[in-house]
Amino acid sequence: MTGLDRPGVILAALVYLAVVAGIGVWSARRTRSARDFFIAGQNLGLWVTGLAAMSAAFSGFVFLGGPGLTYRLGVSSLFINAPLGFTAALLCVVLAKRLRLLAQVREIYTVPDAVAARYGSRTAGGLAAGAVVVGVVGYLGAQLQALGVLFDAVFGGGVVLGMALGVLIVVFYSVAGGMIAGVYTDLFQGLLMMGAAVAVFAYALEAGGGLGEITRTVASSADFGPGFLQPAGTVPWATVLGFYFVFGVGVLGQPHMLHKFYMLKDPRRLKWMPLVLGGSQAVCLLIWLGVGLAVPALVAAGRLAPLARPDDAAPTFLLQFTPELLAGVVLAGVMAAIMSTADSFLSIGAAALVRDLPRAFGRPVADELRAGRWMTGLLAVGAAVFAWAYDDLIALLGTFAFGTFAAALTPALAVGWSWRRVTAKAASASIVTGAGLNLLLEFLARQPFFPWLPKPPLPPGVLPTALSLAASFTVLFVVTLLTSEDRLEDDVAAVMDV
Amino acid sequence: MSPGPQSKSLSVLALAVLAIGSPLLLVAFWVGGPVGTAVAALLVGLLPAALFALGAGSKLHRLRRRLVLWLLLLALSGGVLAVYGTASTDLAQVWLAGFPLPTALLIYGVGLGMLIATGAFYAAVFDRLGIDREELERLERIASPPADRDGAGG
Repeated sequence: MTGLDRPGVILAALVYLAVVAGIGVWSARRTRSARDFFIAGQNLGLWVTGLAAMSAAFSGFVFLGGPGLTYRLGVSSLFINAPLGFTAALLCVVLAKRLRLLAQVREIYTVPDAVAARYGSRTAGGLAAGAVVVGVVGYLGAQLQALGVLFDAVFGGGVVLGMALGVLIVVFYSVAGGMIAGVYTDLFQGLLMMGAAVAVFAYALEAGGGLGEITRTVASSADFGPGFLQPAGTVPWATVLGFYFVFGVGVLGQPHMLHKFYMLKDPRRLKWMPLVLGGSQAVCLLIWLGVGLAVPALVAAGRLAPLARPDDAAPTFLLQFTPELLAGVVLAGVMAAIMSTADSFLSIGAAALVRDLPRAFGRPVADELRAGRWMTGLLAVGAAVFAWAYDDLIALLGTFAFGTFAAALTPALAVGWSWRRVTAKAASASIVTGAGLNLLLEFLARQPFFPWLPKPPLPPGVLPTALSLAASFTVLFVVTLLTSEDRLEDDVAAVMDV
Repeated sequence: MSPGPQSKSLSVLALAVLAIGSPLLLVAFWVGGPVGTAVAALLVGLLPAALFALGAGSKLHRLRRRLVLWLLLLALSGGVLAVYGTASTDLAQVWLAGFPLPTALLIYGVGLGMLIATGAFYAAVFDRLGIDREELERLERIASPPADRDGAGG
């Protein structure tokens, strides 16, 4: 069954798209400067910033990839979400206030700007920008892949065609509105998804006969079994602990979330940020948990055919087990989640390419706004090709991208903004180690082009991203201890003291 | 504002945990087995707790009741270890609120419980650990006009 068999689904999706197009047009009129394009004029309140940060983080990865990953791995996948118990507060304690205050004393638009400012080093900033571009291509690829799966589920025609349509829509939308379009779509989409998540969770419980019945059905089935409900029942402990480490600590290196803190109008509003950000994330995760468990239970009970593609878990459930209007709203909301996240990544990637990297080479671009709009198109096409070549679950592509940001940027930002002793050389070495090792291990594990190259010598289940993040921290400390302390500028030192 | 001795000692402890824990985690992942896994289960909770302490370090002397902070850091450090510990014993067969005990601990304790605890704690201590008005004014005095400076500081 596709959405074409249920006209209400199509109607709700079209209404949603009209609203988003309206936001894009409205935002384009308000985007007059690079400051508007990249950090929304630094004029956002608590709720807009908090929901924008949530929406930037929660996307096709969570709403489509999450249930798909749970269908394949069982509750082991929840180790990706469990760190949300502390990540919002960790972000605020370690980085949010410092980044926001830095944006008050310097012209800071991007995360590589913050790296360059902290270390007084264009090299460190340029390396951070390079890592951001790599991560953006991966994360954007995950969004486009999710958009392809969604279009295919609703309209048919195949995932590749859906991805191509997705590229066109996302590029038009991002080029027109930049970050202002992104944050206001985030707000609209965040509110929509929170409501939808509660409703879908209720329908998932109803379809499966309640939480207890769902878990009993899954545990007693031959296809899934009791291990499906144990923390590491289907994968080694190294995998789930790697998930927890990368998604718990690595949140401090995610530019799409950190970037939102520059936009907060009043830094003292951060007081409520962990509850707003963490609370909204927890509500949205009801879809991951509810659909992720209900679909295996329905398959085990013979009410749903086994899925050929795990990423189809959410669209299949929505189209077959929820009312048309809700399915339409949720599918449109998921589309919104994907598009707003893609928009954020396009803005961040474009900023890295037209602002951070040229500045690192001492050759700033004259018209950053115009160049930024051109780069969004190139990035989107590159990301779509990368996702097609990666050819795996949305959540696993997202994990690679999240891990790239985490391994490259977390130590230099999190330790660097808290401890004065960290040197520019240490930060640069850490960024190169994190990004380079992660790319190398992923490439060796997946590449089909050079059969003579060895597979990475990793123990079973160990995530390349987890090793890369631990190695990046280690290099940061070792190089710091081997190099002389740099002199900090007064304003940077003052921000670090706060 | 100068950090008190307790702030300094906690920051040094946090740095030591991060500096020693990171390579240790690398080794633990590599070695695997029961010991490697148990060490990794401890460290993946301990490292974020150390980052919390390091991030708040210079202001911790302002907190009147540090017991809550210590309990929070302890819970954060031990949460995943508790999940690993229960999953490795017969307790894994005990069911709680719809799930086997280790999974229930993960969802309701490590996830939901910590979310409420850390969010409420941050809001409660924000005026001491977060940003106060004096600091904002001091920063504004230090800052040169933003247009004169960009990321790399020249």
